[in-house]
Amino acid sequence: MTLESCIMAGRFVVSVRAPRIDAASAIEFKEAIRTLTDGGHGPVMLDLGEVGFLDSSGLGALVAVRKFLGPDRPLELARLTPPVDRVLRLTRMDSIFPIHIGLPTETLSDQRHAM
Amino acid sequence: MQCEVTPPPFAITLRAEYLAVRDSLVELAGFALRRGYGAAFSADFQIIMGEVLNNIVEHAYAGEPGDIVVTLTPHAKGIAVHLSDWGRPMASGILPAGHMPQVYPAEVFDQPEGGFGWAIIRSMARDLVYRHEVGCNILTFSVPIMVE
Repeated sequence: MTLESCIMAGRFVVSVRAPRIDAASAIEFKEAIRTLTDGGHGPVMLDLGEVGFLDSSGLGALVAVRKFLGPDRPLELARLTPPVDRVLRLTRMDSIFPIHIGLPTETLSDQRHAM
Repeated sequence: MQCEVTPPPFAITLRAEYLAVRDSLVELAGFALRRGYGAAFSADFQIIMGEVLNNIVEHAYAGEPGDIVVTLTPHAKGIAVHLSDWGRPMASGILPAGHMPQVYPAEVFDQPEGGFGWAIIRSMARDLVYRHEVGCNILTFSVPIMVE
């Protein structure tokens, strides 16, 4: 599971370079995010722009990551593809993770419009 | 949707492994697209097929090797699915009710990490029937078009 990270407008952004977060890769994904964010501070934004498929294992991994980060480090999601957005809305998990249409820039605050 | 006289069923056999499930999902979604069901339905179809197939890998076979046979029969209102596996029977012989787990935005640290699989299945499938006979688990259901 390849992850790339950078700081954008003060946010720690982790881009997931994998097409699927599913039963075959959810544990690897969870461990990779933990390793990358361990010991850090502040919110984490997951760029899921390349992820075209997320199943219930992937959902569980997102929740586990959120718990791992702790109360002071919100986990936000960005650039959801339609199938991933579909699963998050279907399970109402879109009420747990703030969702952004794009990545942070210096001047824009991207907000997902309420459905 | 294409109009055809008795379209033939589509059947595949896959190993009960998560990576094999992943490959089969791409094939199954591709089948739905080729038969004209559209991108939104095909995406939903891939989601529900992933949940039922991963359940078989995790619970019926639980790490033991084995095969899963998937047969799809297209019809005017969706796709009928027939799954066979030779793993352990489902405990109690009854399918999980699959209520969508409560989501706790204010109490995310109490949020369970599991339970979504059957809820997703229940929200997308109709006429879900399970039976176990002669060492074989059989699960049938239909995935209708225009699922909310």
